Amino acid sequence: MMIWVKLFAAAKQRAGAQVTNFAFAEGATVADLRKALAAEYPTLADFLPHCRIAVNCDFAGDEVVLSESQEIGVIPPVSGG
Amino acid sequence: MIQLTNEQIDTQQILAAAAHPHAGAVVLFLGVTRQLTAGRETASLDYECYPEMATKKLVELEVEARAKWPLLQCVIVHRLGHLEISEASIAIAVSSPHRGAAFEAGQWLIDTIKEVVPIWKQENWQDGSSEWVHPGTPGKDTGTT
Repeated sequence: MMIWVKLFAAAKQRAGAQVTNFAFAEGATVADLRKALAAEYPTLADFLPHCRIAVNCDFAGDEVVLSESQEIGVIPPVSGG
Repeated sequence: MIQLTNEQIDTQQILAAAAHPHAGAVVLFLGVTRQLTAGRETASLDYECYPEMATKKLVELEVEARAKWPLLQCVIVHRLGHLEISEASIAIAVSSPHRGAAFEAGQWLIDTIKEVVPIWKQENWQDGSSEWVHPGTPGKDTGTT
């Protein structure tokens, strides 16, 4: 399955991409996505542990299983307001 | 009422939206762009957003605030894009029959927005560099613009 991921703020800047994609086997989780992101974008790797992953606009733990229909985002620590 | 906008925040419009005949209190909070942060001078700021998620989270926070306090109106407007010093980046207006609820709800809303709503600011420093602000992360993400 193909998973599309949106990147924001410093995550986007470090990766040099605002959207990216990965091919995963069925059953892949947020933890697998984190590993794939770190491997694909070494400049993002040390920043990723500070980021949350959003699945369908809700924060998702590492155990959450991914599927193609989901909208996925890398959410750096927020600084709105 | 929830709004993300690239336009200047119109506080009169927000106060009008917060009005209610049963209100005894209206609290308006404005977050404004600050010139000095830890001794460094900011020239301007840029706000970026994940609009679908930010809207969803703001709607959830309004629902949660209305469940916690007897609010009559709840108005949250966040500005995006480029802001000069002293401009309002966020306005929160809440009305309630008595002031306690309005003060508490307003404080809770801004504190919670700063934790869970995916909006980010980039400081454009007076020296020409710029930097994403990501609380709690070590190091700097500086890139010249």
